[in-house]
Amino acid sequence: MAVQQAPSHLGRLVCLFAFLLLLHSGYSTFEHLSYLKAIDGHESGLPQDIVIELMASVAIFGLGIVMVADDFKEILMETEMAKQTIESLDARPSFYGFSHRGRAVFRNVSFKK
Amino acid sequence: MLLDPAIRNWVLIPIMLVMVLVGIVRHYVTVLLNGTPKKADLKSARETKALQRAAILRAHGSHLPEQAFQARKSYLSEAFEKGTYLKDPIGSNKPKGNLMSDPAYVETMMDGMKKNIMNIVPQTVIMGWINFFFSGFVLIQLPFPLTIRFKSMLQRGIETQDMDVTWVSSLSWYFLNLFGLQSVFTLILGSGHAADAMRDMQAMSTMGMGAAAGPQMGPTGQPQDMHKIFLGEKENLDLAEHEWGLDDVETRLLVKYGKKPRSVLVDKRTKALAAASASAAGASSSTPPAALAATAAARSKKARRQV
Amino acid sequence: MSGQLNPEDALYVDMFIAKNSQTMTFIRSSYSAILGLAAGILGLTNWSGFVFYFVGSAFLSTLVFLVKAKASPGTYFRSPFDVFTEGVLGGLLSYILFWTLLYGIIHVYD
Repeated sequence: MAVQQAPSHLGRLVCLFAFLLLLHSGYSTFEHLSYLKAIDGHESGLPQDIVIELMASVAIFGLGIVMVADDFKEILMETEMAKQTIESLDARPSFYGFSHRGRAVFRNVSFKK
Repeated sequence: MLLDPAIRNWVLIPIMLVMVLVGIVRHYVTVLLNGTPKKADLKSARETKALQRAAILRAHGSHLPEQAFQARKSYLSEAFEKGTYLKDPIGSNKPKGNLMSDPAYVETMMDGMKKNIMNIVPQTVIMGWINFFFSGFVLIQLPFPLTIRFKSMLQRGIETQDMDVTWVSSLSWYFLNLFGLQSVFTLILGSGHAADAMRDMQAMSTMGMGAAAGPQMGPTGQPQDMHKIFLGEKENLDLAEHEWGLDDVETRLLVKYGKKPRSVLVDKRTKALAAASASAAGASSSTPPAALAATAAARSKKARRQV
Repeated sequence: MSGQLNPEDALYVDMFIAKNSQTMTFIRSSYSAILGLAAGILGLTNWSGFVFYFVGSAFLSTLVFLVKAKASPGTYFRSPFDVFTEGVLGGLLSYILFWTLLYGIIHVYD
């Protein structure tokens, strides 16, 4: 249960790529707005290609982060127990010991029949 | 286009950077201050675990056969009454007044105080720094609108009346960072970092009740009277009914594989319920019929789920 | 500790429930930061900003549902709707932070 999952290199690559795309579109917006200010133009929304690049980077980052994150583990106890063998759970009945707290717990019990 | 970029370079980014770095430093300082985790005290651990044992017995008793359940129930009841699990036996006089003499209690207080200090000191220092150096000018425009009432809080130091609330001062940038960087810290430092607001809220609600190393403290901070709690748990135990999960497992198995119709189970349930209520009406039993009906309903629900 | 134990809890492995919740929070908080950056770059204001966040969150939820939970979230979470709702409000705060940051840097400063 304490085994680390192998890191997903493809996922990290995808995340990096999407982040670079985001940075690039951010810088393009910045340049575009400076250009508009330089020629005294009014703001009329961002050019189409920057918006498309932005949306693509967001979508690709979503894909990447889902790949990078650890897998989900099943939560039902049954599936976990199904993976255990009988040897790990209840082994070697000929080696049972009897010097345990049952001696104290069951001392005064009367078995009703 | 509206603000000087020097503000961005010398105020916006530095404040954010400082808060991130202070958060990281605070995390490592807390780790160093706390040192190695303390070894749990055997008697305190035994106390808490005995209580949990009784609760587990009540909740999962259906896994045990009748005799095992009864044996554990009587043993635990007797132990609670006699006080075998108490940390300080009933006979000894522990002076309740002077709590400062108990070293374990002092440890718990110190831990709580350390955590509080590590949270409050950086916050106060940074707020003072910002108010001293970065007051009196507009820092940034919020992209979303707020009501007029926030104006006095967010535009502290800027004496205009008509500017709309989206233009805010540095202090509001500090608050934005304070809340927004919580998840960033979780990403960088892992989930157990010292700046976690959730952990603070939990710590405030369960003061003193952390590892089994410290003595038990109630919500008011007074050490709880474990003997009374044990007696209360004994009452609960005495009321517990035993309900063996394997009672009618043959019928359930046959129904599951279709050899017998499901109506057989339902008939058994209603018959058992009728018998139980008849016996409860006839003889005065301690469990009220409402609880009995509730257990019978839970029984049938569990059987239906397991089948 | 009060004696409020629910026998139904024995069906689940607590550690895995917590681990799944932690993974979900990780995914949500990193994605909220990126959404905030994108919203700031786009220059969204008022309602469109919040709408963008919830749409983006829904997109992420569907991605997680399809890729990570393999279309059966009930195996990984106690309630199948947890995939869609967990961590959304926590991510909102960091979304607002990064949204304000980028909006300020690109659209307000020179």
